[in-house]
Amino acid sequence: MGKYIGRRILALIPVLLGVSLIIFSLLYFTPGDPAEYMLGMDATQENIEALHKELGLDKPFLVQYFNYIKNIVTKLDFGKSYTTKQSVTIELLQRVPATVTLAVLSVSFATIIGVVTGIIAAVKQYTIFDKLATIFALTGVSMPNFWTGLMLIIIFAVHFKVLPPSGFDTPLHWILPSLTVGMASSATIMRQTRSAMLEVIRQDYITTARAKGQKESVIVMRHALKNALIPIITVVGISFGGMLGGAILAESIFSVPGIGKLMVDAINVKNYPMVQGGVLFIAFAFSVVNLLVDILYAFVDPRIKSQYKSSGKKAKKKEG
Amino acid sequence: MKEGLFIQTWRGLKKNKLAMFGMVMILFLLVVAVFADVLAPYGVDDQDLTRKFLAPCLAHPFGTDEFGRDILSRIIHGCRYSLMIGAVAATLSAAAGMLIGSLAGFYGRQADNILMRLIDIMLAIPSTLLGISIVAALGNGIRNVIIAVAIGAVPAYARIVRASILSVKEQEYIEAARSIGASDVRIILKHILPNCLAPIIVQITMSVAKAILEASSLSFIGLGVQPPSAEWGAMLSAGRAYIRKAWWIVTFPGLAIAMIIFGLNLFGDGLRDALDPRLKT
Repeated sequence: MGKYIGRRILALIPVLLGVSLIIFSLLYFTPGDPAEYMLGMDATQENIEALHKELGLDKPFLVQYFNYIKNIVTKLDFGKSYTTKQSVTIELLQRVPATVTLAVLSVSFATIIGVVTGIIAAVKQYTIFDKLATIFALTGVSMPNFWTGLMLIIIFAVHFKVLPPSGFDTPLHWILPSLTVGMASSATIMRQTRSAMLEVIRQDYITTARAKGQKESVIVMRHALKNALIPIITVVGISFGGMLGGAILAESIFSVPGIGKLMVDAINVKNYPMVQGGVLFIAFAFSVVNLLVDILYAFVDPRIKSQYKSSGKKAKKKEG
Repeated sequence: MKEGLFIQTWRGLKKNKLAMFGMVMILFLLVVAVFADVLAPYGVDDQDLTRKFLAPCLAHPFGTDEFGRDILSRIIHGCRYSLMIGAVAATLSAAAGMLIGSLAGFYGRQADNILMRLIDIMLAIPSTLLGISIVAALGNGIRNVIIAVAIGAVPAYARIVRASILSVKEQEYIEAARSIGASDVRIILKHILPNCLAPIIVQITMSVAKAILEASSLSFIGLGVQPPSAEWGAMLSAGRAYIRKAWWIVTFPGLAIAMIIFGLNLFGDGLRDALDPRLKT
């Protein structure tokens, strides 16, 4: 198991290098000179060149890229923001708490709503609950989440005036953004939960449990749900990427001081180091979550755990 | 063979009421897009500053915006943008993804390793974020939005095509084709791809929906199609400023997006069920 995790962490390195190379080249070949943006319209040619030198923009592409990676690896330095002149690392870290809070709340919201409605829909298949849940799922995945956000603002902030329309200071501020981000994913999770549960619920061991006179709630929670967990965890993991994307939009709708808003603002003023740092940071977070999901499989499913163990033993035998 | 698949699928689809409903919605929107000039009660850019911010009424069922433009007419015209972006982006990404997937699946080894690592890298960036970065680099405008959205959708196609090719590559009819001297290109195009069509068709329907969603989100954050174009995301973006006094400006374009996605999802789901041999029993 440890070996497997180690291998997966090593495999992250080339992926992240690739991401950095793609983003770096994309922004490098973008028309427009960041130095001109920073200095404004009336900058002289000398000033621009001096700034190029200061930022290292006069060097060839590969040298710039190599220096960028070197600074990240050796000093965790993602460069300096063009606009604030502050370290990108520090600015990103300042924005982490808001984004993480939003992400965790959205995932929890999406999972709770999705799994609960999914279970109900499966257990009460073909009833009114099932139909309502299916309608909820179909409309949920169809609504663009930035629009959901605007509608929530109109309903809860403008009309009923019960929740604040923007900001992220108090738990009250957290509700609308996390609902916005979690909504579409909760629909996807619901559909997956429903179909996974339906598959399990027809198995013989469920009939056996029923025949023994086990309570229905125990059958659903302990016998059925436990065996339906793998596809549910998979879909939660996959939705996480979508939620990170959704968080970028939600952060700019609700003025949440998170990484997404920071990046959208940075793109609009061609603040490249900030954009690169943000993309790398999110790609890293996303990859780590995917890894965690894979590790989680082993804890949920003993069959997968034993696979790791047996493959580990085989490897040892080969080495021996 | 092709006709058989088509008729079988159609028979399966006809039984599925939700899928048929989705198909009718898509056809309806197609008609709206084609006949936008005839159907729209007002011109797409007709301004009338004496009639700005009108709430929905008989003359303007969806109200008017900050320049007194009729929102219904703009939504009707916007249908063209969304359908075009969705269709072109899905076609581009399907073509690129099928090329990458075929090469990786058919040639295996080095080609597979290199191409699939590339796909892994692309998958490590959430697609909205990838789209944002590409548009940031290429600049605004409808063409660049299409490119950005299409690139983000390539990995899904590549993976599906690769997996399907791996599953049919070793079949006897491929060996037979090779033994009579068919070229690799011919084998891939004539013998392999037609046999992996089902998952690709489903993916195309779904990716049209996804492309429309992502393009409108790019326009919404101001990176995509720019106002005064009647693209739905751009309309939402412009209407955001007036959310307190004119709810209709942001409500109806969003409903239009939801409607088109809803139709495509219903149809795509039905298509998957009709095409999936495991569900045919």
